[in-house]
Amino acid sequence: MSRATRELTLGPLDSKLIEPIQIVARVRNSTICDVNVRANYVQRNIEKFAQGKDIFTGVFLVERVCGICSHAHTTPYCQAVERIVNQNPSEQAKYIRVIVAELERIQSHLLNLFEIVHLVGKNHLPLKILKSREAILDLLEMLGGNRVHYGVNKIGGVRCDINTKIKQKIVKGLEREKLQTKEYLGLIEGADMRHRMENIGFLPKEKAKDVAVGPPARASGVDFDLRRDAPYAAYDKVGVDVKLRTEGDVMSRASLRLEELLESIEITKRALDRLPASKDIYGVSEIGWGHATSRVEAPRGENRYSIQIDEKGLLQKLGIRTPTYSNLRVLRDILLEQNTDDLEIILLSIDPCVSCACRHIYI
Amino acid sequence: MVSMTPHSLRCFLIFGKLFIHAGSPLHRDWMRTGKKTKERYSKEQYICPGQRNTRLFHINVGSCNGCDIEVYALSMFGYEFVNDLTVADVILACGAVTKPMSPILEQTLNKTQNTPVIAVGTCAISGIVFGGDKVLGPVDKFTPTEVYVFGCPPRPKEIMQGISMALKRGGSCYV
Repeated sequence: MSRATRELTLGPLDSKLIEPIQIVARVRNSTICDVNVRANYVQRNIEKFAQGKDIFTGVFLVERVCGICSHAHTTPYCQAVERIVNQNPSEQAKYIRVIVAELERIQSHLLNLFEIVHLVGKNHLPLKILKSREAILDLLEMLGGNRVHYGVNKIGGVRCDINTKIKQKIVKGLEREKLQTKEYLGLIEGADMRHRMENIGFLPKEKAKDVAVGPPARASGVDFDLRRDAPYAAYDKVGVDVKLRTEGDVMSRASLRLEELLESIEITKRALDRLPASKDIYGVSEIGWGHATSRVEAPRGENRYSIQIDEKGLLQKLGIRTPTYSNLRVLRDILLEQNTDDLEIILLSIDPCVSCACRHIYI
Repeated sequence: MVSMTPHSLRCFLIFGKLFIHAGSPLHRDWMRTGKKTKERYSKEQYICPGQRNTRLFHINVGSCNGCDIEVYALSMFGYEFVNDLTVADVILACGAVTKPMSPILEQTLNKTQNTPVIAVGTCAISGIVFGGDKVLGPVDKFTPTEVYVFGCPPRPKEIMQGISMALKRGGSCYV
């Protein structure tokens, strides 16, 4: 037993990490005993830059906070501004927001699954997952016109309509996706993946209740989902069946995401069935002032926006609280007393989105 | 007789002959114009098209993940992502350069010989709308850039096109 510790650094540039994040771990006998996380490499101060801009430019700016979950950023922004200017979007616009949000959740969870399977070292499976993700991106491109920043949301409504032809294509694509996801769920819970991911990175329920949000919290048994508990858009009419796990390890987080993905497919189908056939989707905005807060359930957890608009109708203050900002605080607790070989897979299990987490802080 | 030139150019004159430090900006320009390609690429180093996967070195210098996930979608087509810059064929830089990322970018690019740099996405080309004290500017403010791939974000097909353009100019290998 040697008592000497050494330092192990991961990042900021690493081919296993998509984004720059630095993790400095103190290691004793290949066991992690202290962790420091630095995640300010891609801070662009969008909140500061948005000050003095008008509310329509804000939609464009806020969409560029994150590339994976851009719709989950424009939705709370638009909802907060709509609350200030007293303008409710039409029923149809609310349903379209739900459909796009769930499609986005599907592609985000598939991307996380790709990263995990790529790290574990399966040969053809990651490419297969990317291919099924491409099918979802094609659906999003058909709706919004772009693969990543679709720009569906507008203040007071949405920009694009869903007709019967597009509806049929989405249903067809989702049916195929459902079969593939069940296959992935079988593979994830198979013996070799289970051996790699079980009983590591344990997050207790008490800690999860205090800090974590989204899938990491739900995998530890915290029964909380904004889509059901504080419904926005058309979620109260569509209905959500929240998936829960109680183990709280890496394995449970990965399989919970896949179960959520299957539930997202069901939600999208239900929303497509109940979509009203009016043509009233675009909103006409008026100018108002005041402040409002709105929160949505992004693919990674709760995303909260607080906005203040001055008398000229310009943005005075924009506060963003992203899910990864909360989940990174859990990282130290779940990495302690773990083997160094498991560092990367535990990091990926909370699905970190660094460009979301780099935020401007008002003091 | 040795006369020293400014340190930033990293070259010196001996008996009227110009010697250029490998990896210096001048050297990199020479490589790119193709004047010295024959000396640089000996038979062992020259890689025939289709012999191995193209190796990519990816740097996120402050992007929103949009370009990065499109870059990582290239692994479907047989591109490899490497950690070591010395074995990389091209460098893909995504995003407007942020303040904490600029020294890392400069340190990394000092290690390269003549690996072409590709600016992926509108942020890397112009910095789009981002400004202020935290965003310093586009990528070509810090390093000479070979190819610009437009789009917010560009499609994987367009990035592939950019990579093949960069490799054809350098003469190392083709996509």
